[in-house]
Amino acid sequence: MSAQKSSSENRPIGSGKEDSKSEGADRIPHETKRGSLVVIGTGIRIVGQLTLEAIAWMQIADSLLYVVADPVAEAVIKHLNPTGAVSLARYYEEGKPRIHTYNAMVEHILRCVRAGNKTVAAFYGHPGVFAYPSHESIRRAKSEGFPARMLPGISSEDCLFADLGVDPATWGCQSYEATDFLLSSSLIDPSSQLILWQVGLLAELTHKSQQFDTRAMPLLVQKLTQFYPLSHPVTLYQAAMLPGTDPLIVQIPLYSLAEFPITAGMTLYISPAWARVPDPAMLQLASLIMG
Amino acid sequence: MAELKDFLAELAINPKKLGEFIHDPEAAMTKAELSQEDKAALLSGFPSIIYARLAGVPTQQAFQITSSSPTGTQPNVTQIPPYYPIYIVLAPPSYMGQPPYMGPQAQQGPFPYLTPHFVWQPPPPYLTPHFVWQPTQPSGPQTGPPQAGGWR
Repeated sequence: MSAQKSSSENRPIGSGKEDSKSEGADRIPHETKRGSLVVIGTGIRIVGQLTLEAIAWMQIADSLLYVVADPVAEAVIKHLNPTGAVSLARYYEEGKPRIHTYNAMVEHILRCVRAGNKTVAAFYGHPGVFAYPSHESIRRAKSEGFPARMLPGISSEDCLFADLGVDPATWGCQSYEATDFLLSSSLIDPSSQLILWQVGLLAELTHKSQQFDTRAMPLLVQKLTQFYPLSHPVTLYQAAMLPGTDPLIVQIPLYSLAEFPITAGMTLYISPAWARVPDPAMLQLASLIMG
Repeated sequence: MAELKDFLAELAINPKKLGEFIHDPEAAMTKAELSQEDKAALLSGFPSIIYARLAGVPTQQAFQITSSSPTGTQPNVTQIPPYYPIYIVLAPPSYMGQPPYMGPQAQQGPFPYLTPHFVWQPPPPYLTPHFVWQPTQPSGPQTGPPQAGGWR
């Protein structure tokens, strides 16, 4: 690889120094430099979706904290910043509530900022989409007076629109986290498109590395049948994460959703079941205004 | 001989090399001196095989990972195979797109009453407000959704 930032060698994750929870937080004395935070996204497929701006920020960071989903992304990050890259994946633990993990990540990020470091936090996908630690760390950094901002990345929703060939502007598009949709009394519009995220983590609030419990799936089907016919086609989607591979796209009828072997990375897309109905009153008013 | 992980990481930050790979994957991999095993894995198009190779799994074992399929009764609790399972991989364009009964062929489709009536396109804020209509005539007397009971 040709873009080495310095002559420092990569530090493997899990080495002794990384055992400290505040690693990277003491690299620059607080008195000499004001800390800052930039949150970036590495895209879903880092080969081809990593922006130039994200690369630049990762290279100049004093502390580069990251949560990525594949070994190639980790190799890229370590290569771009061999001395400052630290994984936050250590905070995931089997059976641990994800919110505890996220709060620990936020604390780690803020420790680096408070220590005066130019801190970059890299998350896979878009850092502001289904990423509580990114928003929360920016909010708290700003509240403490540090400059903080987020740069967009390519999210799985962006990939979905491209791969399924659907446009959110046509018929509109509703987007919910699957568990949130199931447990809330959300009313959806079945004449619009619907996307349910993390459908493989339905009603699952803890981290599990080896299995996902999808026993709540019949409840989701039951709720969806309030809005859609049982035979309505639904699409399970997972974006491609490696070059040369295809996205996973499976279209099944709604009634068979509960039996399908859904994994954590899958998203549920449901096309409109009904036509949009114009509002005659608004049509008349609009024609009066517009002539 | 280059490692597969380093090769892919280089593609992520080097547009020239990514362009070469997109244009001719085999030539780009040969130029990077990837092993035959890694080349075969990357050309297979199967994520599970590629992830297995990235994890250092021997080629023979890596290529056996995709042999499982989701046929038969599926348990509610999905066991995750060690290297990124693929259940069904289908290319998108052939069968997926906008719903067939919502497009221009709607009137020949099974649900002719679902023809969209208009497409609303909001005007850019810097232009004088105007409306763009793409009207279509309702195909029949029924313009609203049918009774839900008729679908089930």
